[in-house]
Amino acid sequence: MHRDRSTALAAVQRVAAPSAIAALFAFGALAAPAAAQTVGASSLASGHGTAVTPEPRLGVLDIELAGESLSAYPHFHYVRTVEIGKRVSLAIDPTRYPSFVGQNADIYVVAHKTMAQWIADGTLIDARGAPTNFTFQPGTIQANTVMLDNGTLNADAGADLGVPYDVVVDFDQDGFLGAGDAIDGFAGEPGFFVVEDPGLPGPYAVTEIQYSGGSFLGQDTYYPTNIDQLGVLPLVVISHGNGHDYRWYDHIGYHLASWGCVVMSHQNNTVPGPESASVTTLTNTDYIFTNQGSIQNGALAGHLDPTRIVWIGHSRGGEGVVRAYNKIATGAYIPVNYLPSGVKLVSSIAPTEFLSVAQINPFSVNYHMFVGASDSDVTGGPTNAIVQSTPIYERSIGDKTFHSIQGAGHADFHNQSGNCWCTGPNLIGKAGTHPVVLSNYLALVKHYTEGSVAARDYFERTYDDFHSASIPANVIVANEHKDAAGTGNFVVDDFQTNTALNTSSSGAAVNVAVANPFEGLMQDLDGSFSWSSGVPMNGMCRAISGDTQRGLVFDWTTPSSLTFDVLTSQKDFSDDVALSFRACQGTRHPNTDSWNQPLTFGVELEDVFGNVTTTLDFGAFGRLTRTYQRSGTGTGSGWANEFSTLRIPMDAFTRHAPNFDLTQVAKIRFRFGVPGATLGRVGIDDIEIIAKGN
Amino acid sequence: MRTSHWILSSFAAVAVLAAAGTAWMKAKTPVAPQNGASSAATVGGVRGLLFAQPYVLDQGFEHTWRAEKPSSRAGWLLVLDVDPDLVVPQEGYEPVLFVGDQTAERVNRGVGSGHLVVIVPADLDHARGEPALDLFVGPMWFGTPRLPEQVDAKAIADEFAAARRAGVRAFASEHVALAKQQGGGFVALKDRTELERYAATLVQTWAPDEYEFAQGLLQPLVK
Repeated sequence: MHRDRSTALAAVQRVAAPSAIAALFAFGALAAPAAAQTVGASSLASGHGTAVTPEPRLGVLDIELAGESLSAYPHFHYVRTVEIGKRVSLAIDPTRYPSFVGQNADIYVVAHKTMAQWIADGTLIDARGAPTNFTFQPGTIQANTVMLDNGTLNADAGADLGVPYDVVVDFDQDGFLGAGDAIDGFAGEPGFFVVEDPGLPGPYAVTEIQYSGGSFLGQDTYYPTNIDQLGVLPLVVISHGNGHDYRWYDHIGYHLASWGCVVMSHQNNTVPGPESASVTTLTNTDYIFTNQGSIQNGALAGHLDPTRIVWIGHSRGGEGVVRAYNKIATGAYIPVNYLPSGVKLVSSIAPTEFLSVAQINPFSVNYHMFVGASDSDVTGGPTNAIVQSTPIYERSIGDKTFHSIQGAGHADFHNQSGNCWCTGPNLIGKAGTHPVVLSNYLALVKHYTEGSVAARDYFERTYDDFHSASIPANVIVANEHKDAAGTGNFVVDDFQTNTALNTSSSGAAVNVAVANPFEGLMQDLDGSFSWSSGVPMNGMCRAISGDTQRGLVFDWTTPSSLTFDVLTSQKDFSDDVALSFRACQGTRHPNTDSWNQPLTFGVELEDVFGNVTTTLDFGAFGRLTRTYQRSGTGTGSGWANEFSTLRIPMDAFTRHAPNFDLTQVAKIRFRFGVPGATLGRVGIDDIEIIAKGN
Repeated sequence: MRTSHWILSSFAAVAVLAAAGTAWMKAKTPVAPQNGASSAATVGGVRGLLFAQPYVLDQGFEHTWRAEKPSSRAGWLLVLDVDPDLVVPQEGYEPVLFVGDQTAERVNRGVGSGHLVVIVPADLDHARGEPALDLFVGPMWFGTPRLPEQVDAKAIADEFAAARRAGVRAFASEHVALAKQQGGGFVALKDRTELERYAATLVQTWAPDEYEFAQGLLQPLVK
């Protein structure tokens, strides 16, 4: 279980085992976990983000319990969300909770209750019909993994995404949550969610209407047919690309409307350029608000929420929506019906980049981007800044999410037949592209307009680890996510400052024991994807002239390492959620070509006492994609570098390692060669400790 | 009724330039525009003028297809026969279409039919009783690939000079006269919305493969 940042400050804080468990056990029948015996409560306030305050009500132990088994170390992944039809299990690491060992308990999966509801009524009613009886074993987490459900739990939350459940270990087997029992879901987030496939239609029938308010005000609008019963809904605006048509986005319109959004796709003035397109995004958004009483005899009247707007733009329209946000954020355009804060998410599909770096800056709005690695129009290649979309993503300082879809062409994102504007192997067409688009748009829209917690797993976990079941198995996606700046995460190194190789941006030492390290602007400078040792940032189409996005690249053919010291003031990771970083393979490098498959490497922590965790192969949480094997733009095969963000749960480092002190972390070490790929070339960036609440 | 193709055959020089433009377009790689006076990439590609009708509006509109965004209440509605390869929509730079000293707004795509309906804003010449932009004098050509919204008067002058050097000339007077005969006299409309809708009917007539596209411009107006 993790914490939604919207509730992080208000909710009574969850206790992060093992650091503060001792306080709870004064109320309970259980002994404190092993680690808790050596960790003082005084450490609670020194971690990152929100300070943890123990909540001893009922004397329950509020810990992570629900998740999914892994076939290799760390053997279990405590997750927030599982999709309908998938197995969910409970697991306990007996080395962290030795007091569990030997105890027999009834394990309940119950409909989620808030903490107040639990305090008012601790009755346990199992959603499966009956609890599971289990006796905890000594040894490993594998020996204490219990299947809770094999895909039968109800996921139907109507137009919401996910049915929330809590998991309770009822040690005294009295059928009530009480002192000494363990629970996942007591404070803050539920224990876990079971969600319907977000790539499938939602519960509402959809009405589509086409009308015009005049010049460049043609609109194709989709809304739940029973909108009169639904109150105020988010508005999703779609701005098409050049040579496209506003009626080519039925797939998005019907999908999001079936889940409770109003979706309006409009005529977009793209041919003059993205500046003109940005104007039509702005005027059409204002138009539908102003005229909601007239459109379709007022069917939309009172149902459009000016505080929950999403802008989606494709190609020149994708640049246009960023420009539009930039204009309202800087006051260059004053909307009539909404404030800049009303725009909750801006998403660009394969955007162009005609305008200046300053003009196409999304600032702090929540930002998202889709690109197709097979795009033959906005190619993403290094030959021309106009066709490099990704620098726009890099400029964002809000929450940001990125999906690169291998095999998807420029026209695969809309639903008009004809030229796909695609090239390269293993093309996936609209049949492969649309499920990625629909499922991820639903997750993003649900999270940013409705605060859906369950949706977060779709963009915070790697695609490799978790994605909609409706996406065909042959689809390969690399995805990134980064929390907004200033939300409490500790940035170990983002390579933006302290640019010497041996110093991190946080000011601590870095031990660089890898081959050919280079830290610098993530810009491919020679206009070619051919590997050249003189262009170490080959394949990094992440910056153009005027940008500042930096990163680190290097390679290895023998076991190597990269060690980041942790500032003493930041050493307490005990109340943090995860270690996060993004990494990619370096396209067309001889090592990459030789490895020729998805890549992983190892990560470990070292505490101030010299204890070192098991070196974790992050492949359990996703792998770095082999760059798309598209040729052209130089010799060889492999298109632009594809970053993936790995979030490794903090508990994964201490599995079966009760002596490791997460309150005293001294070093973060990446190991290359063993485990994982024996050779490779990678880029790495944005090494962060994710604070609770993010 | 369409203008017969004999009109087109008299523009061999333009066709040569169109071929160069076609080669550029088939490369499918947007190229950076030539800035300032450097307009060496200017190419032809307008093979004929099929229809020309002057319009006048009660309410002016902003011509967004050039940097100054001038307000306009009058101009020409033209149907051009163009090299379809030059008008394939793409997201990178596209050749800008010029008519005389003005950028032309392309209403439809013209890829299948090669027929482009365009709006060319122009002041009214009250003495002549038609838009000041004289179709007998002003050539029509595809210029350097760039964004129309970034093309200003100086850029137009540069493009015009380059086009003249390349041999682009106005259509023969008899051809223009025939196109104007096709178009007829002024169409007087209320505003830009009516102009767009009128242009959409021309698209349906001259580029029937884009009938559905034109329907997108003819949606019922919200009242």
